[in-house]
Amino acid sequence: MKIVILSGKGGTGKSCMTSAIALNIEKCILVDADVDCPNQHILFKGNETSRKQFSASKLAVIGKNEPGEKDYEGICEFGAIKKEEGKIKIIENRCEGCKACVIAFPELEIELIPRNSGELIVKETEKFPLVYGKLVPGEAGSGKVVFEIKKIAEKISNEKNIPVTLIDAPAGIGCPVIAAVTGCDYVVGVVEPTPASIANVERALEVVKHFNIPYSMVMNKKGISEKYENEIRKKFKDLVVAEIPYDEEVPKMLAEGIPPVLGKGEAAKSLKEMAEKINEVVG
Amino acid sequence: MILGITGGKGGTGKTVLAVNIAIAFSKMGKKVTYLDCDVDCPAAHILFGAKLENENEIKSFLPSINEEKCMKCGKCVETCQFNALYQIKGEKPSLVESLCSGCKACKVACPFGAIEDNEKTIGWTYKTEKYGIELFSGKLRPSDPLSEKMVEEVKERAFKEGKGEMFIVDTSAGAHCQVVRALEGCDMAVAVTEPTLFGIHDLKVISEVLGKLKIPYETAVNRSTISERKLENTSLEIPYDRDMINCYVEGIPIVEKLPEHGISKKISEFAGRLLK
Repeated sequence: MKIVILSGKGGTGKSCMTSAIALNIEKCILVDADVDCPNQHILFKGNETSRKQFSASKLAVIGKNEPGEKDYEGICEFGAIKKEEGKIKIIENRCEGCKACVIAFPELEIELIPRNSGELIVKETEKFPLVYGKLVPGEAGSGKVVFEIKKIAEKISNEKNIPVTLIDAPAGIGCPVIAAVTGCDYVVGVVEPTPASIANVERALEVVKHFNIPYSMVMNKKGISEKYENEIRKKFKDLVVAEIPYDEEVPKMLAEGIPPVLGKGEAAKSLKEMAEKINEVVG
Repeated sequence: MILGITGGKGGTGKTVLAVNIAIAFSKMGKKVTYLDCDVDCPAAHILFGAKLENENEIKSFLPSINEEKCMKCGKCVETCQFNALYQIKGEKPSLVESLCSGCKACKVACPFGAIEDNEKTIGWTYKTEKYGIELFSGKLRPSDPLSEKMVEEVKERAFKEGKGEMFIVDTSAGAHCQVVRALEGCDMAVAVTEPTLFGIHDLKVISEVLGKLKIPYETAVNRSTISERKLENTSLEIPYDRDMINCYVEGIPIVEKLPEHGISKKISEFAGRLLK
C-alpha cells in the first residue's frame, strides 16, 4: 500500500501529517519526495545505511568548436545554444540534454554527458526506514529523483516485508508531484482554511483524479477562518476525515525539529486521531 | 530593477511579502509589474483579491507521426531522452503525450521527414491589474510536467507587455529548475524563511541557488516570534500576528488594509531600503 500526502500549496502541514501517520502505523517505510527541500530527516534522526550519487539528466558538451554557417541557435527549443565570436556556447542552466543539437550538428561532435543531480539516501530511524533525495540546488530532474527514491523504497519494503509506504510530496503540482503520485494507492490531501490553500489543493487533486486514485482530506489549522472551514466541509463533505486545530505548540515543536504529534496540546491529540483514522481507511 | 522573492520552503510567506512590497513600492510612486511565477499553485491574484483575466492559451510542440512517411526505423524512439516515444518492434512508434518536453529532437532525428508538428496545451497565462499594479500569472495544466516552460511564458509576456519600473518576480517553493528559471535575470532577491529547522535548512539550499546565479539577496524572517532562535544577517523580521493572518484570509494585503499597523510600517520601510 502506497500512500501519498500532498497539498499543492506549500506550508500547509504535509510533513507534520506525514510524521504523525508514520509514527502511528505499525510497520512502514517513509519516503520524503521533496527532493529539493527535504525535511523529514530533520524530524527523524537515524543511522545512514546507504548514500549514492544519481544522474537524472544530461548536458551537451561540444567536442569540436568549429561551427559553420548554420542556424545553430534556432534548433534548441530551450534557448541553450548561443553563438558568440564565431564559437558555440552551451548555456548549462538551460540545457535539457534533449539530443537535438547532437543530431543536427555532427560537425560539432557534441556529446551528452550525465550531470550530477544529487544523492539518494537511506536512513534507519528508530521506528522505520527513511528514504530521501538531495537534489543539487537548482538542478533539473527532480521528477526522476523522486522515481528513483521510490524504487529504492520498494526494494527495501519487499526485502523487509513492510506493508505500507508513506510518501511526503513536495509543494506544487509539477513533475516531482506527478512522480510522487504515479503508481500510488491512496492520497491524503492537506488543506488549511485559506482561499489560496483551497484553490491549490484542488489543482493537486486534479492530478490525483487524472490517475484515478482514491483520496481523503485533512483540514489543518482549524480556527483561522470559519468561513473557509465551512467552505472546505461543503466542498469535500465526508472526504474530510480529520480537522486539526490551530495550536501554537505545533510551530514551536517544528521549530525544534520534533514531530508535533508527540506534543501535549489539542493539535497533538487530533493528529493522533487523524493518524488512526487514516490507518483505518487504508487498513 | 527586477526583484526576486523566493525562499525554498513552502508556506513561509513569500507571496504575502511580495504582494505587500509591491503595494508599498506603488505607494512610493513606482510603477510596479508583478510576476507570479508559481505556475503550479498561483496565489498572488488571490492575495491581491484580483480575478485572472486576459487569458492566453500556451501550447507546446508534440510530434505527429505521418504513417505514410514513417519507415518504422526507431530513430526517434532512440533519440527521445524523456521516454515519451516507444515502439513495439515492427510497428509505428507511439507517444506518451504527458512525457513530451517539446524539444523536437525526434523531428530532427527522423531521416524521412515523417514527424510533423502537432501541439498540446500546457497551460494559460493571465494579465490583470489591482491597486494600480500590473499582475501577470500563469497556470500549468494539471498533470502536465512543463512548469519550467510556463514560467518562461509568464516572464516573456510580462517583460513584453509590462510597463513597470519595478518588476517583482514571485517564485514557487523549492529550489529546482522552475525556481531557477524564475530567478534568472533578477538584479536582487529576498529570501523569505521562518525560524524553524525546516526553514533554516531550506534557506541554505536556496542561498546556494542564488549564489550560483550571482544574485545578491536579503533575508526576511516571517513568524519570527514562534521560536527563540535568532537568524543571522536578516533584514526584516515579521512577528507572528493575528491581523496579518486575517488580512491573508480576507484577500486584502495588510499594507493596504491596515497601513498604520506595525507590520505594514516595517514592510514599507524595508521596501524603501530595497529601492536604495
